Amino acid sequence: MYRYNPDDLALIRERAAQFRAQVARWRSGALRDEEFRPLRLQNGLYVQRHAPMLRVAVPYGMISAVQLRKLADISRRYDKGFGHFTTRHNLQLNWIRIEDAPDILDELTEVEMHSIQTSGNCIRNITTDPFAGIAPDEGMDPRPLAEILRQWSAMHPEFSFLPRKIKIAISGSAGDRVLSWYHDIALRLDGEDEEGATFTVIVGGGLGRTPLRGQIIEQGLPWRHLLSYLEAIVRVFNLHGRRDNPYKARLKILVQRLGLAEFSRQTRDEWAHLKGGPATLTKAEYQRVAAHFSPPAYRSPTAQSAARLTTRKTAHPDFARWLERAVHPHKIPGYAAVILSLKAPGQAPGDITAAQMESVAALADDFSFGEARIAHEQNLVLADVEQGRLFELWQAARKDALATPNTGLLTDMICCPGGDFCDLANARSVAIARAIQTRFADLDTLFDLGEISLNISGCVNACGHHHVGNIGILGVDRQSEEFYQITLGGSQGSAAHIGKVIGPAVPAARVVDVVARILAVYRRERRPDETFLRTFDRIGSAPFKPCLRAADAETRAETAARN
Amino acid sequence: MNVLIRESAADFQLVPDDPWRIAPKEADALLSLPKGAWLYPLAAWQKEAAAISARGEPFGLWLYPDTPPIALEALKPRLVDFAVIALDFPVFTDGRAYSLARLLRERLGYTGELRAVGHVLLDTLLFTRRLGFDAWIMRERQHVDEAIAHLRSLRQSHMMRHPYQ
Repeated sequence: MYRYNPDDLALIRERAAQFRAQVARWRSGALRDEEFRPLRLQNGLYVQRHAPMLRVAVPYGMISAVQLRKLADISRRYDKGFGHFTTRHNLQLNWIRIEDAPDILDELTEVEMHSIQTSGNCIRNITTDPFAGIAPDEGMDPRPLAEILRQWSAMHPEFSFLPRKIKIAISGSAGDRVLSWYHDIALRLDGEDEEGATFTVIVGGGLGRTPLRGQIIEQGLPWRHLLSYLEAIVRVFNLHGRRDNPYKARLKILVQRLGLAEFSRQTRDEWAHLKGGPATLTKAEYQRVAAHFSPPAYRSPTAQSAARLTTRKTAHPDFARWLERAVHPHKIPGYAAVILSLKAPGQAPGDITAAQMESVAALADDFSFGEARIAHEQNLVLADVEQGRLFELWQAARKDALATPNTGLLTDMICCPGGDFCDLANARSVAIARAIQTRFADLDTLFDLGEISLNISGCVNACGHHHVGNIGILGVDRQSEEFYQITLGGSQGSAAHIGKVIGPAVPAARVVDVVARILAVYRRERRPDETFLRTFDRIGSAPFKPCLRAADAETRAETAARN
Repeated sequence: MNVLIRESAADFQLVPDDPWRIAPKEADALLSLPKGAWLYPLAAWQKEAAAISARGEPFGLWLYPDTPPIALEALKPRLVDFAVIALDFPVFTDGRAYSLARLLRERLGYTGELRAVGHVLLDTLLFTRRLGFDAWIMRERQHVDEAIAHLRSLRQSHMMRHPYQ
């Protein structure tokens, strides 16, 4: 992965020192609260329900064993010994003290980490495919460009005070594993010209309170012009995005208001001036960065190891199950990518203890060249594991509850921290996730239900991506009571779309019953080998509506009985 | 009290007795302006450019961040006439003036003084300096020494060396 040069390191050290001075000025009263707020947010520091929260950037999800150990150490000494991985690959520390934040940032610089732009109205952490560089369907490893985007966007002088945040994803694969239709800007490899790779640019997507699918603004954009093109888009946004209402300030709202044709015209007018300018990437610069991502020293597989894997599968059905769920194909013969699930029963989705961070670090060192990735589904990935050692890895990962064979199944939920932590939340998320984990703990049931995604957000900001869950659960506040709106049929991937609301919101106590009823309808209606989403697409929402009506009737009856 | 810091070839300095004042927008008021160093709001310049030039004194321009880029482009042939262009920050989180500054410096080739006025914080000196501002109105006298020290330190700063620009 990318290693900092002395200039990169000096930059994040200076930024940490600048932040220390900002905290000191705020404490002395030289900076007012309303001045300090945007400044601390730009550096990932929130003030939350119970304590400040620091969001540490994990650029495009790449993390080393050394960094994981440092985060474990920091979370023990400054927090309560755990962290939470978000859908933007970042790690949140939920219980720190503001006065410790500068020291934490200094310590992070020791392992080339920072919290630059993990919040605020600026360009946020760049996200990409957790299988970048190893996916069989990949045309180009997106990580060198992702690193270039990180450097370009960090402390960008023109784009540090935008109308609202900008989230950028980049993908080099045929399959869409980056949620490209729901980013402010997404870059997807679409082919090549005589100078190399070209990209499709998708603009104006997003979830949140106004979920909108992105639209294609450009195709065949040569990689050398990515930055100048992005500058054109972000400049149009900076100058013309709404600043009077934060809920109407995202790029998607501007694109919707102007229409794609007009937004595109303005972008191209800007680009005409920027194209070929100093932001144009050179081959030398690309190669300098790409050298950090050259393939590790893979070994050739042996016939023996393949045979051994088959024997182990037969002898250990649990192992076979885990293989089925946790292993992703690798472009190098004899290798596999392994998903370490952070969705064990009783674990808040995406949460990780300090001990687990250290275990992942050890596993990364032992099995995957000392590196791991964070997937936006809030799991970890070891990308380069020899197939002959999968059994050994499974045994080791099991000890630390990192081998739950539920990837892609019902309990592999995407879930925000919700009302237990977050100031914005209307309702708790983790409690709902726990209730679902408890009800659907049986692996046979989970395997029988098959591929399904269930996403939970504690408010309309949609950090839990509820819109694109096959089952989406959204916390809403109804007369100070926690209610949950259920959507069905959302999906990620190339055909990503938003789910449909299928009935009235239900109180917290009914959510699991409703989910169970929905799943019963699916089981009744499904055809052989048909996933939940396929069944829903075939039969529509009508057969599912009674699930909500029944819950609603029960709630009313209960309320009437209480009164 | 407002104070001006200006960059000269060698250093950043506190400029005592900054003469520049913002002129009123209204045409009648413009006609009766006393002699002086006036920064004209864009609307005033657009209406009264000839009269302003005819006054025979140096003049400048004051731009609010809602200035459309197209209006700036229309100024291109006359930019050389402005001794000062002041970009206003009604609040420091309004980043539109950053884009306007880049347009003025990079696209339109403006080489005169580019001044940040309004809600200018120590924390935005970095960004404004990088975008070609060379003068800053600070609201508080007591922050000036700190601001000058900060601007000097930026000369060696890695945060000033932005890649890919």
